[in-house]
Amino acid sequence: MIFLLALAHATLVARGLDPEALAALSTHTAYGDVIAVRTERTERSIFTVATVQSLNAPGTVDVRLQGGCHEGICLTVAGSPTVREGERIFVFLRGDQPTSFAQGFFVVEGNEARRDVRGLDFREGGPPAAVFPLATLLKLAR
Amino acid sequence: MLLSLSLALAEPHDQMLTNAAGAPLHWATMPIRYTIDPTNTAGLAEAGVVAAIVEAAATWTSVEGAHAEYRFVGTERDAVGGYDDHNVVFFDDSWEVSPDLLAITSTWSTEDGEILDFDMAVNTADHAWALDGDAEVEDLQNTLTHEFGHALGFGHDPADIAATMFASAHPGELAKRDLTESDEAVAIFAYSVEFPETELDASESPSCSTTSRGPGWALFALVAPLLRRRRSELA
Repeated sequence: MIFLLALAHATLVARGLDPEALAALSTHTAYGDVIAVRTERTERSIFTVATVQSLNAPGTVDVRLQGGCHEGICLTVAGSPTVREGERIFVFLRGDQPTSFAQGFFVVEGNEARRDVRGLDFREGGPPAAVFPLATLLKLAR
Repeated sequence: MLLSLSLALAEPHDQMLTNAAGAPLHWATMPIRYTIDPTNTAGLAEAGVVAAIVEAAATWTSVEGAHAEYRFVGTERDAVGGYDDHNVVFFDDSWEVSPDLLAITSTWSTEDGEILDFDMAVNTADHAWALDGDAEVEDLQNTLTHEFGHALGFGHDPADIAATMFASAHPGELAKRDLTESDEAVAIFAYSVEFPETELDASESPSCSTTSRGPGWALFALVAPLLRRRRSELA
């Protein structure tokens, strides 16, 4: 395990947010399977765009994550989550981006939803819980 | 042999950030020139802002045995960031991402991890900042000393709660303005001056005065492909 590289990056966060607090800051949620991942280059950024086949609503949702590699150039945006095709995710969204970066982005495995907040810097109490029952998040879905 | 060497370097090695391609982030040339846009709506005197930010960066430059050199080259107005071969620290009064975020450091690199550009945006739309250690708000120098560590490619220190690169601090904290031994160990690991200057062709970076990398970095570069393959296998 010593070979695992740190995935932490450099965003500061005011405080750890539980699911209820995330919901209060969010416009909506996405829950489903990532069926495609692509990157987009804009004038001042690179986004990784995950297309999510919804499990609790019809159709697909695009979730845009800041950072990624595009045509040989990579943007590492501090604390932004990463995604892989085939993952099942639950995301609290503000517009089309995760609320509070990695805090609002959960990978679902069975009945658990897990977030990787190692890349975030926390104030007032340190890192929040990383794992929640999926049912807790689904109650907050909208 | 490879295993034993990696064990010896496990702690600083584990603190190196990676980009989306899985490559460890690092600067290949020095100094790292940066500008500051001191314009802010936080009520901070611009001269004080510049002094605090320059001091935060200089903290890393002063590590004995490392050659991570930040060089302040002036102020500017209306900075916005982006990949433009231009490193800038600025305040953002129209923060469009989550309001709970205090600041964001964005780092542009090649797929191999060579850092090309960084920008630090400080959220003044949703948070108060201070230069004097006001216990109620964030101390700019304390925060940005941590961020300048990230801009060098360093991640969080998971063990030393006193370290500048520890992942948590509190409003008004000033202690992380100063580096601990563990912070310095990472800087020396990645940017030691003792490594022969044979890694880079100086003609590729005509504006740079130094191209030093550390011996720790050389070993890390050696094992990095193995690490990426290991991560891929685990995924």
